[in-house]
Order: sequence, then C-alpha cells, then structure tokens
Amino acid sequence: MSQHRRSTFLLRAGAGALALALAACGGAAAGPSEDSGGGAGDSTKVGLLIPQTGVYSPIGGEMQKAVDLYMEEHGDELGGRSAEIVTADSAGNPETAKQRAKELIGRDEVDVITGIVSSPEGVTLAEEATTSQVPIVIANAGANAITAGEVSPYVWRTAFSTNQLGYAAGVYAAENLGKTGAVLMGADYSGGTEVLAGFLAGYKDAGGSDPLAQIMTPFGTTQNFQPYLAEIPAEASFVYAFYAGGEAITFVKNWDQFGYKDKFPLLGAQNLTDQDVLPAIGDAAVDVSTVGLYSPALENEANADFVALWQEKYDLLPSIIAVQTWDAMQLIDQAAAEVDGAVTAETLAAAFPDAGTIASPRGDFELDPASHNPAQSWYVRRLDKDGDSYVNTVIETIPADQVVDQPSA
Amino acid sequence: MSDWLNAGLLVNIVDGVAIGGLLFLLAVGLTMIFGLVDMLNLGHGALYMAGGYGAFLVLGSGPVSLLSFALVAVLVLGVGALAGLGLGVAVRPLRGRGHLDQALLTLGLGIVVAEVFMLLAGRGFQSLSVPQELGRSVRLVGESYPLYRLVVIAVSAVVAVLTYVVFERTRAGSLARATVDDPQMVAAMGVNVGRVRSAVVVAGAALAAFAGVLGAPLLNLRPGVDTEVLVLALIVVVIGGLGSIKGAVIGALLIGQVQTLGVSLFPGLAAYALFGVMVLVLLVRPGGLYGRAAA
Repeated sequence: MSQHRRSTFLLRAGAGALALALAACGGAAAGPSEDSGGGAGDSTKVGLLIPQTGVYSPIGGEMQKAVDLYMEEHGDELGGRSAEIVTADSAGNPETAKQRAKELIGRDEVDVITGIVSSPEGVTLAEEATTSQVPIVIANAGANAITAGEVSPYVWRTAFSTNQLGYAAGVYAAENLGKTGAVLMGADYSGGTEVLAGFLAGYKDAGGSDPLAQIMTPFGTTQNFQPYLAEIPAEASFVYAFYAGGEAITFVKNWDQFGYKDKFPLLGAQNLTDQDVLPAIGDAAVDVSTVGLYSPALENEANADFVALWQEKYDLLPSIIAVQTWDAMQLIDQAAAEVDGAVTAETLAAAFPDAGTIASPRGDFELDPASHNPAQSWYVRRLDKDGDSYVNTVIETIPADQVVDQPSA
Repeated sequence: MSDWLNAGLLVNIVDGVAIGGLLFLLAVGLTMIFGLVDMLNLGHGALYMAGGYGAFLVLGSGPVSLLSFALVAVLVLGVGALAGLGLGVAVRPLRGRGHLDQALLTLGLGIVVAEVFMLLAGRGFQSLSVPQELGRSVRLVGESYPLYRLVVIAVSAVVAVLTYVVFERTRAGSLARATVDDPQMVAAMGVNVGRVRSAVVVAGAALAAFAGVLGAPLLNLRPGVDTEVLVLALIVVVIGGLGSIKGAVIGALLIGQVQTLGVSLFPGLAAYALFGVMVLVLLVRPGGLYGRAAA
C-alpha cells in the first residue's frame, strides 16, 4: 500500500472523527411526522414535538408517556372536545424542530404545539410560534430568553426559567450552607451558564459573597469529572452543581467514588438526582441535596393522585419532566375549555391568560402574566434510600415570592 | 518535588491511565482492522455499546458479584467475536470498492444494532454497577481512588501485552502483518488470506464488546454513547498510526492524559484539547506517531 494512500486514509479518519463529533452535538436527521386524520372542526389538535432520536430521546420518551397517560385519563378529550395528538421527532435539533413545527402547522393544522426539550429548540420555536401565530406550551426548555422582556402571546411555559431554577437554590444556600466559600460547577453551555448565573443572583441577594471558584466543564464531552473536582479549593464551604442526563450520572458517581462526599456538602439543580438518572446512579446519589420544582414525595392531593396513576401504568415514580408535560396538557385542556366555539390556534392563544390555576402535582400554581412562566415554589430535596427504591425527601420549601423569574438587566 | 506535582495531579495521572486503558481496548481493534484488513469499521462504537447493553440486559443495574461480572464479560467477549465474524462476512462483498462504501455499511449496521439495544433496554440512562468486591475506594498518595479503575488499568495492560506478543512474536501475528504487505505471497505459501483477515476482525470486535462491559460502570449507557466512544477511538488511531499496537497504546495513554492531566493544568483549553492534539500530530507526522508507512 502506498504511503500516500495511508496518509490520506488517516486524514479522512480524522475528518470523520470531527464530523461524527459534530453530528453527535447536533443530533441526527429525523423521519417524517406521523400521519393524521381529521381536519378542522370542533376538536382540539395538539402537536407533540419531542426528540424521538438522539441524545435527548430519553426526555422525549418521558414526555410521550405523560401525554399518553393524560389522554387516556381524559378519554381523549381536551376542553370538553375530542382531541388528537400528532407526534413529530425534533431530534433535539433546532433546525429539525423548526421544520417539523412548520409541517405540524401547515400540513397537520395543529392548534397548539407542546413538548420541546432543549433550549435552542425553545428559542427557535418561540420565534416560529410568533410568526405563524400558533401557540406553543413549552414543557421543558428553560432558557431565560424564551420568555424575557415582552413575552409573546403565543409562548407559554409550564416548566421553569433557568433563572428560577438557579435563584431558588442560591437563596437556600446562602441561608443554610454559608455566606462565603461557594464553589459553582456546571456544563459549559448556555443552560449551565444561565443556571449558575441565577444561583449567584439568588445567593448574593440573600447575603452571600462572591464565589471562591466557578468551574465550567466541556458540555457533552466530559466522561470523567475527576480532574475538575480536583480544582475545588480545599477551603470551599459547599459546591453547587448543574448537570443533566448522562453528565449528571457521571458527576454524582465520580463525586462519591473520589471521596468528595466526605469533603464538601453538595447542592445540585433538580436534574442531578431526577428519576431518569437515579437507577443508573444508584447508591452514590444517597444524601445528595438538590433544589427542584417537584418531588414524587410531595404531600398534596393532586400529587397523590398523579403518582398513583403513573405507578399503576408505568410501575415507576414520575419524573419532573413528566409533571411539566402533564401540566402542559392541563394548561391546554383548561385553556380549550375557556374557548367559545371552535378551537383554533387563534382562539386557543387568546384563552391561555384565562386558563386559571393549574392543580399541579408540584402544588397549585398560576402562570405569571408578565413572564408566562409558572409562579411556583421550589423544594429542597434530599435523596434517601427506602428499601430498594430511592426517594427525594422534601426538607424545605422556597416560596414562589422569594424566587426571581428573570435576570436583572 | 516541584509545587505543581502535588497529590491531586498524581491522581489525575493515574486516572488518565485508567481512561487510556479503556480507550486502548477499544482502539486496538479499530487500528488493527483498519491497518491490517484495510477496513474502515465505523460500527466499532456500536460494538462497544452492544457489549455494555448486553451485559446490562443480563446483570441489570443492581449490585453484582465479581464472579458474575467476570463471567458476563467473558461471555460478551465471545458474542463480540461472533459479531466480528458476521461483520467480516458482511463487508467481504465490498472489498476493493473503497473505504467510503465500507464506512457507510458499517456505520449503518452500527445504527441498526444500537437501535435494537435501545428497543430492548429502553431509551433511558442505564449503568452497570461496579462489582461489589471492587466497589470501594483505596488510598492513593493520600487521596481516595476507586479500586475498580485500578483494575481497569491492570486488565487493559494485560490485553496490551497479549496483543503485542501475539502480533509481534508469533507466526500467526507475522502472517497477519504479511497479508498487508504482500497478500499474494502469503496466499502462495498456502495460507488462507481471507481467514487471517477474518481473525483480525473477530479479535477486534471481541475486544470492543469487552471494552463495553468494562467501560459501562465508568461511562454509563445511554443513546449516543456509541458515537462518543467511536470518535475517541478514531482520534487514538489517528494519533497512534494505522495497524500499530504500540501506536494504540501511546495514543490511548496520550488521550487519557489530555482528558485528565491536561484538563487540570489547562482548564480553559479542555474543550479543544482533544482535537488540538490530533491536529498537531497530523501536522507533524501525517501518518500518526507509529504509522507503519510514516517513517
């Protein structure tokens, strides 16, 4: 074999490695959305836009389960009318998501789109919703920008803003873990940066001082957190960390394996020990505290019903994603009930402000008329092991009025 | 001892060896198949993933004993070998049609295999438990270090020595190398060239699946892990040079250190370091550090 051929071979392999890495970041191309029957008329048609392929597909799967259960429980009706769900695969990629949204709106004639996992998708779809005047209800994507400033009348969110998520934890940390010596860790992308900024705002507003260190780790490519953990200064009084999915699993396991449980208290964002990652983390997660908008252990009537339903159908505890999606369906249901005459994108969008209180498993909440985000309480949860199962025990509540929705300009 | 070489950094270095060891198990098959069979196997990541998920389907994510973990690892090694046999057969019709065709076929097969395991195990996040006997941490230069990672280092070191001895010191190994340089001559000696090539693919595939079991407790199982590890293995092969076991060892150790020691010393460069090192090696030695034709 010639020398030349071998060299080009290697170059190609290198280029291939790069291309694959890029493809892995962007997600794969998606198949066509599902066919749908029926047309306009007096029914409610919901587009469910979720990643069914790619790295975000576990979250998409959880959303699908929540929607399936909701429709089953409500006899395939929304707002007292027959309803239909049309599912489309966003692949977790904003460009694909936009394309699928256009198809859902143009071809399938949906009245509203929900689902929407990643923030880049959320930002793109918020623009698309405003342009095409078809409302979206975001069940996860948390980027502040989606609801910042003058929020579009077509954009609603039953999840959270990333600022809320971090801010609530900051308030709790300043009051309970020390007003000095904070160390912040997170994945180096918009989500991680925003949550940590929110944390810092809450921490400082509650009397905390500048953090000792902020350690950002490359997003999606970190298979080993040990070298980053080694950067935590010995005088740190606690560590606040934001990681989700596969990174959350690796982070919590590394934290345990390298003996950090005995060195510093760890406070995480909700994703660190949510139901989706718990089976994979196992005992390493025990005693880890996180701040989140829900725990299956919450004591209220809506949650008792919801957990029982979920366990009956899926034999698992519901995740935060499940609750956010369930509430998105409740919101659409309640808004559709407010519509007189036919449900269309236009009449539904106009009805969202009148949807009223959502009886959520996380506790009742209303959507903030200024931001279209839930005005919600946050919970400090400690992971306990109960027999063979794990439960996020609620140890403290941070009331909604202490949490700031958007970063100050 | 200078100031920067503290205990934390020594742990980093050891950890880099552990990650490097795992990468070696994956990359050695890729480089041998690449270099000796002239076959670009982009299904290598899927073999890793299949190994990990296969073990998960047998063991579950609960506590496991060292014995059952080891038995399953050996079982997966065997099933991986069978998969390699099938892969060799599937690719045979494409011989002489260039690497792009092989790449497309193996990548496609890989996607199918990965999706099948998603169907069997679900799309969620999964993990294998570290065997109970190895679940504790040991003191290493005064720091806490997980015993399992030391075992990964030991196992990959043994595999490295074995593959080196087989390929460089035995007749079978010489034949494998000879089929690259002069297949006609080897065939004329009465050796079945096709069988030698199959053997290399079988061994490489078996090691990739084995790495999947060993790596699952460290890197977890999730959609997309196949592509992630394939990219790392390709980088190792590019750095080490095609068909060189020594290259795979050095490349894997280098990438292991880049991801641990490099991150500690130059945190700001962490995101670019992997490809930066690869580009640097390609610029200085386009054939890789130990590429057989690079000198």
